[in-house]
Amino acid sequence: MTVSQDFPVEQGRNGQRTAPVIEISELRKTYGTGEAAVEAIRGLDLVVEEGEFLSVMAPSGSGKSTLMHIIGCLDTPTSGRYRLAGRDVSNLDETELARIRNRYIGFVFQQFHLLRHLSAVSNVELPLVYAGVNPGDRRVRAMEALRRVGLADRMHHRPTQLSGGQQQRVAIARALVTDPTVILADEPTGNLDSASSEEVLGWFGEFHRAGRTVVLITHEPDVAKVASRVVRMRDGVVVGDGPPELIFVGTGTTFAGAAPPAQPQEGSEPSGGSMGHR
Amino acid sequence: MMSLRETLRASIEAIATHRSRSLLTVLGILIGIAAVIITVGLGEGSQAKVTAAVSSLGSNLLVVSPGSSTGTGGVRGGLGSASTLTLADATALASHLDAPDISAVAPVVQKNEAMSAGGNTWSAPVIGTTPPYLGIRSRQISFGSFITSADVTSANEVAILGTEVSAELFPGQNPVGQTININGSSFSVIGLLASAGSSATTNQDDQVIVPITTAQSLLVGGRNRTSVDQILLQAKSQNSVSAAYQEANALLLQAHQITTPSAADFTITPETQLLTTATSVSKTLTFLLTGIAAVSLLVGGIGVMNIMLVSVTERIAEIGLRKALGATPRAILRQFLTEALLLGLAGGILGVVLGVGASLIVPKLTSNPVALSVPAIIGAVVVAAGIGLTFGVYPASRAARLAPIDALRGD
Ligand SMILES: Nc1ncnc2c1ncn2[C@@H]1O[C@H](COP(=O)(O)OP(=O)(O)OP(=O)(O)O)[C@@H](O)[C@H]1O
Ligand SMILES: [Mg+2]
Repeated sequence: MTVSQDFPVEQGRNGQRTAPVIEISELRKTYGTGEAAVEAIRGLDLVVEEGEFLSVMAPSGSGKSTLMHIIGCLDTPTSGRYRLAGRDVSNLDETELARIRNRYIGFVFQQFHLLRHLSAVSNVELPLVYAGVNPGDRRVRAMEALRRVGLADRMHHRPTQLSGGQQQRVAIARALVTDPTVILADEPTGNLDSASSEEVLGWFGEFHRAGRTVVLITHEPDVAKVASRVVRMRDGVVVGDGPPELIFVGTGTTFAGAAPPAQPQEGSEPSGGSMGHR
Repeated sequence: MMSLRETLRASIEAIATHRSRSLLTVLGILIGIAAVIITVGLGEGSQAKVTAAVSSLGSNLLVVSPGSSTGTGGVRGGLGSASTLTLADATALASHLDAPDISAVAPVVQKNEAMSAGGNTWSAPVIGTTPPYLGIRSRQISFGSFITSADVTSANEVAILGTEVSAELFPGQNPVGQTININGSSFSVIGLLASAGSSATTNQDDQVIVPITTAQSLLVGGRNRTSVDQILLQAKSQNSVSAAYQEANALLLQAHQITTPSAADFTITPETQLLTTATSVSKTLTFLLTGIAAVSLLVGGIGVMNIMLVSVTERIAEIGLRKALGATPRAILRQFLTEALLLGLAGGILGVVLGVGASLIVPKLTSNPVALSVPAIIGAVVVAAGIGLTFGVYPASRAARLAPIDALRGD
């Protein structure tokens, strides 16, 4: 069951440096066809090294979830290249994608997505079920993951018997339990109050310090800045990339310091006359 | 890869989570299977009843009755008027030379008589006949003996009782060796018939059998003393029934000096004809009832498909999540197929319980027997599981094909 057997990680020539965990180039994603086509991602490049804590920050509708789906192998790009842990996953079929999700990605969703009829520990076991881990080992690993997020005493509670913050911690335990290459969180604090949000974000920081790769997707600068690197997106392209001190320079929660990189301004018509047109 | 046990567990969890919906889903199959078991049971039960009734009358049997069935008034003659059949006819038919395909002949006279023994009185058909009657009618003697040729020759006043007559006249006693009074004459009871139950038309346990000669002289007074009501013929085998029929017909036409067969004053009815008609009627009935049950199963299967489609729609978020966590399309397909199979199986088992229960109650409310056969029950459960599986294929493949992002969005 070791990763390297059926999913060889690319090694550098000298054998020391592993390939980036995520390597995306010229990525495009278009929804629909013809007149109704919407280009959600338009030529995006992104490299994430192992052990990085990255947040992708962008206003609503600029393609964050689309990117997250592609990084998480829930969807495939229209064009461009995506290598996950050294392997090209841009053109795999549903079955292969399912196996890769199971082994390499730990998802944390805004809506928690716990199964209502299962206890906390059974929810955490789910990815291990699909990984073919036997029930005994599964239970042990799920209990250990719950213990790590401080829910040892809530093992047998149903999601409805847990607070939102606790539910999200169960979801985090579920993301952790397979020991994934990347933890991928899309607006994980979107449904939480500020205290719970802080706690959840604290866990991501913890995982990062433990050497894990975390990709956090959000539209909130306050959330984004807990990461060690912030990537700003707008209209499907990267418009800023750097440590939070640089991206949010001097202005609290505004984007003043994160000006878009040099872009040809001629394209945008200064007079409001063209607003009605496409 | 998810093991079969895991798939089963997930399916049982899902079914248990949606208990009332699961029950609704299986209702159609449940009713269908119960209907199959009851209707097939009723059909087989009535067929068995008809077969038993007919075969209890005797095997390879031909019945010669006086009168013509081709005449204008239907069957002429019969009780009350002088019969056209005589003991001499019976003797002629018993000739192995002239009628080699007839193996046994028993002339019969029959009359309802009042009878008494001790302080008890009763009324029952008294049958006068000869020793071959016992074999022809497939009857058994449980105590004592049957009438002998000597009894017939000397017109002995001996009687064999059916179990019901015995119970009425000698309650709680063995009647053999006792005396009964029939129509003013004393008969000594020499035997007791084993119970044969009721045939379609007559209660075969409510009978008294005496030598035909005794019956003719003591009981059927006023009528021609040599006439008989019926002559029972047994053909040598199933295959020789029609030969026996021809021989009997020719012999009787000759004996009665009738030259045109259409003017015959007797009728020969092969028993097999009765049997075939009766079984074909009940076969048709079984077939019809089974057809109805099959249609209800089909409707039940479509019910499973409908409710499973609803279930897939309702569980889109769950399916999406399972896929995101690594469930392959095949794993989802297997899970939903297993659910459909288990639902079918549950419907089948509940249907069997209901059907068997009803099969035990129905005979108590109506006089129809219900035959329960284990292979039919196992078959019904297998069919139910098969229906669940078949009608689960479409919803399951819909679930398997759901794109994970569409599925995750839907909540
Ligand atoms: N399945 C789809 N079909 C058509 N268009 C889509 C689809 N999904 C997303 N889009 C479009 O793609 C663009 C990017 O959407 P996306 O959901 O990635 O944005 P987002 O940054 O996650 O926004 P939010 O912060 O509101 O979640 C939007 O214009 C959206 O309307
Ligand atoms: Mg989004």
